[in-house]
Amino acid sequence: MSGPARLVGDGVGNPANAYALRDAAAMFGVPCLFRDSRGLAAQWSAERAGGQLDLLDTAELMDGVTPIVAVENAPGATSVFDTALPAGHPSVVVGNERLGVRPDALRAAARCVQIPMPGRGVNTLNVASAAAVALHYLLGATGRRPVRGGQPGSRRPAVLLLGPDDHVEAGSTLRSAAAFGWQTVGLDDRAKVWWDTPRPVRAEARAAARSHRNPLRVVPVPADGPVPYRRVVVAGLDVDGPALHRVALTGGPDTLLVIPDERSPGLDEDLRRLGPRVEYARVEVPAVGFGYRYRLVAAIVLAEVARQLGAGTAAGRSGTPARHGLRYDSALDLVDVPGTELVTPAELATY
Amino acid sequence: MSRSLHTDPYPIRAPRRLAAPWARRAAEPRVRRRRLRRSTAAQRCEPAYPLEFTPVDGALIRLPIRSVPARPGFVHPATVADIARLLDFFGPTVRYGLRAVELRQSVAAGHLGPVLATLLVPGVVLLHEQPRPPWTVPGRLRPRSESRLVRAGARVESAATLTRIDWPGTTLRDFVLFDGLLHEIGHHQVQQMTGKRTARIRRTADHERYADDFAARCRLRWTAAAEVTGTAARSTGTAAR
Repeated sequence: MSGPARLVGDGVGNPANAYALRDAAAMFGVPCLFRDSRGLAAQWSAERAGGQLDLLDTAELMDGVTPIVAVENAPGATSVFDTALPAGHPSVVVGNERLGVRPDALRAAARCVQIPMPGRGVNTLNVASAAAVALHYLLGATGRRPVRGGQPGSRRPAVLLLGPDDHVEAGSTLRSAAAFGWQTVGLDDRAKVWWDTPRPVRAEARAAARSHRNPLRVVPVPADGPVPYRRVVVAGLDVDGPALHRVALTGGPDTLLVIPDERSPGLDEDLRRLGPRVEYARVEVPAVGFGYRYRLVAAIVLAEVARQLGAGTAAGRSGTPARHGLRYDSALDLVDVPGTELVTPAELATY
Repeated sequence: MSRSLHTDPYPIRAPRRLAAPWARRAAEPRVRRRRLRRSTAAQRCEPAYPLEFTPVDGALIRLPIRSVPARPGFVHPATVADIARLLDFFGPTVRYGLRAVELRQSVAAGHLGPVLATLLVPGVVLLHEQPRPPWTVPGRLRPRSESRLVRAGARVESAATLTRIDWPGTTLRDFVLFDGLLHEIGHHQVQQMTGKRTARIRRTADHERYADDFAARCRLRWTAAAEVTGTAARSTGTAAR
């Protein structure tokens, strides 16, 4: 399989992420190779991955002919929303889950792009989700809807994750939502993959110390009944509608953005239940017949919303008032829906 | 409450210091009287400052009320004129120590629900812009917040994940003025009256309780005055101002 570029996983350590990276590359019809420095080859399962592990070494990666585009939150990195792919069948490189792209590849990179993430507490994506977002914007999405200015917080839609059927897919998607600035996410857990299941908890002291700050609020949403929103937008791969980047995904809390797991049965009926006026937005990918991954599609949808909101990085976020010492706010307090769960950034980082 | 036995009570102190904010504290009438009592007959002289303070109408320094235009889709329910009229009604005791009132665009201040107003200690009150009614709030309101809205005259409809709040008539303006502006002035008075301008001097729950009571008392006074004005107008056959 050839294509306009190739995806390279640089030092990816988790084989599950490596399998997802292959699926992300397959979505866009590009080959996926790995520069293995973490023993990935020893853990590789060709049966689970659906193929052999394609490796490349440092000399092949940095041959001086193939330009490198590093996806990394490095100083001086440009936004992935505004960066074009260089000519010459470049390598889009994503790095280790914790350490990122290795320094030698960063130094050799022709371009370094970052995915703007305005979230508080979570400023990284799952590596496969990041690869899918980067490929989506670097390889296509022409004719994008222009970014609207102003405060993104007031135009951010509510989001509903409809029936993810895998715990890791749901967790990665929640991590993406937190990274792109959502503080509350609705979850239809019909497959029982989230609530009442044991989940891994990182036992690092630093993570525990920060664990109480900026949690993501995950609200259970009943599977039946119409939802009380004025506008509902369903985004996915197999929906019948205009391209994702041509649909206005912003609209404030009156708009519900639904990201369904398109492999779950009864999806058509569920979408009919959402209400009489449902809009659709299709995630355009060039390839067909690839392995569906909920987290990859959801990350692309959430990234497009963040792009249309015009959210910058957390460091450059405007509108935050200067600290003036003591302050007292007069606000309306919201109560949690029964079953609502606060998920810490430390836990989201494990997905 | 006074800071000490040598300080005039707040309702006396506030108008005098608002009228002459840079006057020497030693020139205040109470201090002058105490020093005269202690001085010998040869040291007594005609006081350079009056022993009693007589407030002069219009002598109070104007409080700056600044406004930033609201964004499209948002409004400032209370205008600069509304705020000035309200502060003039309640007089110097409410204004004492305030440095500015600002109508600002809203920011994501870390609250999930809408933010009405903010006090930046010391003395700066911000009133945030609000979405045009009806409001749509993601989530459900706490019972205390919901009763606060209902008390202010709003119509609240709650669903599982959404709450709609409708504001008939001028209820939104009054809500912002009393539950926003005067609530924050209540917080300001707690800090101002005890002299701890920038340090927290009470638990948050006590601070909030005082601010709520203060705003409720002010609303009762305003409503009572409006009823009296309306009654007087009806009895004299003139239009209420």
